[in-house]
Amino acid sequence: MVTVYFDLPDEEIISTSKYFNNSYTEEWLDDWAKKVIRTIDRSELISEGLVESPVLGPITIREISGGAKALITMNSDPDVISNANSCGDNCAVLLAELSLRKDFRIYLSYPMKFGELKFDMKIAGTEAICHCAEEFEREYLRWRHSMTF
Amino acid sequence: METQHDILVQNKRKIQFKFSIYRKFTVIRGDSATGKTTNAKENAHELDHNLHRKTF
Repeated sequence: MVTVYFDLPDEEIISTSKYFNNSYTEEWLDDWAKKVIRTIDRSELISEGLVESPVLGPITIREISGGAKALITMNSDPDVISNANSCGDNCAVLLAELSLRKDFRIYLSYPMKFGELKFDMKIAGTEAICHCAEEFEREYLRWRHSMTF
Repeated sequence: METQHDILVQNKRKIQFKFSIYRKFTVIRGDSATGKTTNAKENAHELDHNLHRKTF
């Protein structure tokens, strides 16, 4: 199940790219990482640290997209609240899939479009449980309306 | 007052970014792996290159 934080103190918000670049190990670059890189970046993880991109040519793992880095971090590092604001809507499929088999935490402050996807999600603070886009959007709007400026 | 600037950045690999900036701030957003960061890096490189060309 994924636990979603709509809001976090500044000191707890990580830079997805910097965190990934300084934290990833060989164990992180598993079948999930290959799937993420293939699905999101449309690239192939050739070996540890080397990715073949159809657009950029051979690149290092440090140059994959922020969304891919975030999804790999979610799967491999349970100690951190991954920054899902680095993920575009095209990451929703894999985020939903991961939530069905793993417990992890994310910071997500925009209304990601989940479409018809099913997922296991808990909203931090309210402890509300969401399994579809409608339930998630309701909780998101409730949080936005509660914000004071 | 002119408020829109059309920008084209291209490198030797023929990777091309076309976009328009409006007023003081332009937010670039979209799906992951569509080139937002690469675009920003290319722009920064281009600006740096132009700055050096004018300075030296």
